[in-house]
Amino acid sequence: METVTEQEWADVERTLQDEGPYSVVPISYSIEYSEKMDILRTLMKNNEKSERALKLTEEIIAMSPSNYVIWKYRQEIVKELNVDLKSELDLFTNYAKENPKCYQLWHYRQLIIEKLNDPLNELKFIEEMLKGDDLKNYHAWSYREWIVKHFDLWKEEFEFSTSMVKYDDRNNAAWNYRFFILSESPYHDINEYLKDEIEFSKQKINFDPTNPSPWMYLRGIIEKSKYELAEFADELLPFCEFLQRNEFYKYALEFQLKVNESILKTLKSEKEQEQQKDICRSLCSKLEEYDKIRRKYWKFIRESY
Amino acid sequence: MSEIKVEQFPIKLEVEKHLKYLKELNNHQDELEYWLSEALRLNGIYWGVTATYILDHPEIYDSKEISKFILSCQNEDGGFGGCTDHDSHLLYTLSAIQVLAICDTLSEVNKDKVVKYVAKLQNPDGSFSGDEWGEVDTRFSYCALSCLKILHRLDAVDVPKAVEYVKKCMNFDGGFGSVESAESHSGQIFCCVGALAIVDRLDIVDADKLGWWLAERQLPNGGLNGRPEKLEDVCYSWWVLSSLSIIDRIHWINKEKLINFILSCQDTETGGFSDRQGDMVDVFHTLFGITGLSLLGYPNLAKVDPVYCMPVSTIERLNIKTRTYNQI
Ligand SMILES: [Zn+2]
Repeated sequence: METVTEQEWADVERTLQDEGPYSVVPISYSIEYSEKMDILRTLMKNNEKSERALKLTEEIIAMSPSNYVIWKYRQEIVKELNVDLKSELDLFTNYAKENPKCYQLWHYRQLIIEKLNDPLNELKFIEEMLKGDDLKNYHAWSYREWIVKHFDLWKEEFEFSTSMVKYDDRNNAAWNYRFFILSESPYHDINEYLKDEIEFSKQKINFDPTNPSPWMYLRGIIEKSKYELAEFADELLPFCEFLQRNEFYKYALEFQLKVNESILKTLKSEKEQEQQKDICRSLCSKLEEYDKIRRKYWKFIRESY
Repeated sequence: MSEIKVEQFPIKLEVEKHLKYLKELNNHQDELEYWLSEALRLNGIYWGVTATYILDHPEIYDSKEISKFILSCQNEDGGFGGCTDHDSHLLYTLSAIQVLAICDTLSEVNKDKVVKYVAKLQNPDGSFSGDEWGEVDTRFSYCALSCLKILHRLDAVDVPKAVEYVKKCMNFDGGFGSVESAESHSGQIFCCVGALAIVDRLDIVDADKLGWWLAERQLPNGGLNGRPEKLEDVCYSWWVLSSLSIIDRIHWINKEKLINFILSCQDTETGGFSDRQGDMVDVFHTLFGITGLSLLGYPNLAKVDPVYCMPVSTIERLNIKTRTYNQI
């Protein structure tokens, strides 16, 4: 089988992999990969930085992008040969699309963008990656946070988070991103946004009370602001009750409990506290009933007041 | 506290089959996967070796030969590569040290060199890079601290700074992410909580809030997922479960249902575990299926330490126990 052009690599001795306790019996389709790796090891040993080495690293990356050994070597060759970084980025865009969960591909992008000191069209690229593959892609979201922080691109990101939450309101990563913008951006004051955010969360909850993300976000955003949950009790407790006029919802019960716990902290007299604890305990009992799999958790909370 | 009995469950743990699967792992050179996973060879050995120890059959692999191979993966810089002649990386350095510790062959390694390699990867903000390529991730904080603790050399790094960085990665929901502000993720939570446990700084964790988030990961079929609205998975089951154990909240989930889920992910013919029922088995999920069962108190398994993901007997011999973790 002629896998790597014989003439092209005729001068390069092969450095075979020492497989240790595993005996080496390479057959069939694994030959191409292992042969390329054998050549690569020799090139790395000789510190060869050439066009053909550049090409070989790309071929190996195409077969196995998470082979971390390749990347640093490629970076060195790119530097030595003065390869245009923008074309390097373009080249790996396709591989990124094929391997959206590969740590190395994302990190390599970040290194290139950092060196170019220009965010180029990366925000658009990330959006395409999210929509084209997995809306929750952890790497894509972390990379976006990095780009936005590094290049001070906060201003339009709140709108972006709105569009992503609307695109799929069960995408917890999009909610987390929205929280990130409001809590980290120097251009967004969480306290000013709070009223609208409560409204926004309530809308999403109304649409589907079994979606955990807006519930978690609602609680998180209030706790992060200068206010306490208890200060919104008059609005949020009736909201939860109305929502459950026909059936109980686990997340609504949980939220009621959190608001009532927050109220408990504001009470001074022992009698008032005792009454409030009763409310909390009865909510826990309901949760024990409706969230059976976590029965022991709710029992623990009930007994902790 | 009720004792777990094998008869409680519709299927049992197929110990013999798993041992056979693990033993034959190195006979797969004809498969492309084997070659593509070359860079991970050291991780693979750690997963396999630990699995045999928790199954209480450490004799499955020749620990002398394994140790010899591991030692051959150490580079001049002191770190270990995923295979011989591969560049060093923290992920493999930890695996190497773990396997040597389990096989009781740590005395054969040049410890000072390892310590130097790990210490060099700490950044001024306290975080750790995975290698000189510079990728930062709380996974690497865990790798570095675990590795140094096993070698009794935590003094080589700035522990308060390391803690400060991990703390920065804590989120509003009580969980932790890969870097600052990154979404909470069960795997990253294990790394952060584990790292804090190793340096005895669990006081930083909001245990009730985190415990609630972790308990929320249990789905009606008993399995645990890694993030809200994701599918259940045997490996995430381990990361959630071990984190709950470290913060003493393991009793908040339904253990019988989880045992059932993990057992259902075995391939009862070939041995090995997959991420979820019906998928292809691999050594990674095989380890985490077995360690999960051990932590849940399934009979006839050796005990696993939730912080180090190594046999408790090893942790005791090394004298690095952070404390005793309750079984359910
Ligand atoms: Zn998995």
